[in-house]
Amino acid sequence: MKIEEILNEDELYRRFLDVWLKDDGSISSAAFQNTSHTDVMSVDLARLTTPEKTVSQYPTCGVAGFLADLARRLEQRVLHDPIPDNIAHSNVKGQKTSGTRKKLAKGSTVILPPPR
Amino acid sequence: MRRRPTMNPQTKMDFCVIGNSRPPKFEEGWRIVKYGEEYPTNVSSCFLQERAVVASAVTPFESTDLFSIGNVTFVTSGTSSDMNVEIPEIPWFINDKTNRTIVFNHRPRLPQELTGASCVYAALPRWNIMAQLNQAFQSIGRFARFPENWDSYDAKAIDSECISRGVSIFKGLVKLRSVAEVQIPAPFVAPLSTGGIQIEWEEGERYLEVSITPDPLSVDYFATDKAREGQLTLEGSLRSTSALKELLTWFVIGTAEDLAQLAFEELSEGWAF
Repeated sequence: MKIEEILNEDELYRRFLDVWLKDDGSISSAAFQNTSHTDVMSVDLARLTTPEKTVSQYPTCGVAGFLADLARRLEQRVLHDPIPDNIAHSNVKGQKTSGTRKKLAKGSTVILPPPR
Repeated sequence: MRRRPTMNPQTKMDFCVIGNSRPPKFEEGWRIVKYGEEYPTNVSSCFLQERAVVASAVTPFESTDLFSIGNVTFVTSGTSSDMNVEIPEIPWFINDKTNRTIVFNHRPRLPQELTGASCVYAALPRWNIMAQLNQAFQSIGRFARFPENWDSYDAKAIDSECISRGVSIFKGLVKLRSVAEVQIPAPFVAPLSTGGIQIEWEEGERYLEVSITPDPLSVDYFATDKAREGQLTLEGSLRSTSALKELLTWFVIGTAEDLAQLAFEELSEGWAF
């Protein structure tokens, strides 16, 4: 599979659950954790997918979006990492402190709200 | 989770009630009820072990599991008849070897099919926990039932020790509410993909987070605020209720500059929660 270069202006999609959605419509920083025992957080490269595709296998999830530029300014590496059933799959690689996660949450918007 | 009680062959009652005397300051509409799913063979010895488990002001829905199986104690409203019990829709339990806690925000009524029931008035919570805090308690209950991969990104199931610690912190919060000179707001509670729990307070640029994570179990805080000089942050391990009180007091009435002055004494061992 072809590896795409991810530009700063590229949008990234991250699935999230209603338990992370606050009453004011903002998303908890808890939604932006690395996978356990790894230094990567999985996302989808928006230009290779759609919000609906991102949650097609996960009907309880919504989709949050943020720019690759935001992650890079937080000292994260953003890399396209296609997998067999998801060519848009990408990784946001790097340690995510509470401050990092909070900034990712603040810089994200709800693209597709999770069902409540 | 629904439990159908069976009759206690000794008392011929469908359920037995804990609480021996009407307290001097009885608040109309509340009772303590022991609710059994199944009684062990040796009923008498089991009943000898019973003791009143009274919801306190700080733990309105806490009970101890006295039988080996299937018994919970909860506070119930007696606003209707004694003959209707409805198990709360979302009860949940935290079990370790000795304790079981049930948390729910319903005031159950006694079930229609139960007859011959009796209730003895028992001590009552001094106040009702505020609805938001109750909601947060209930959220933790939901987290306890999350399976592996609950977030679609290979999340761990929420660690029971983290839940227990979270409940302890919440109890600390409720206590603080009673003694603090400031009104402590109810937090937002979120599960963590690592199997932990995060507790958050946020107001404008001011943000306080307490995260409880497993492997190894740790409780950390992260506080941030916008000062004239820029964004101030403070983070570290949280080991005592007094430290949490200082953080919350800062959150409610402090300034960004106050955040920079906060310093907590590290406990040499253990937890104060």
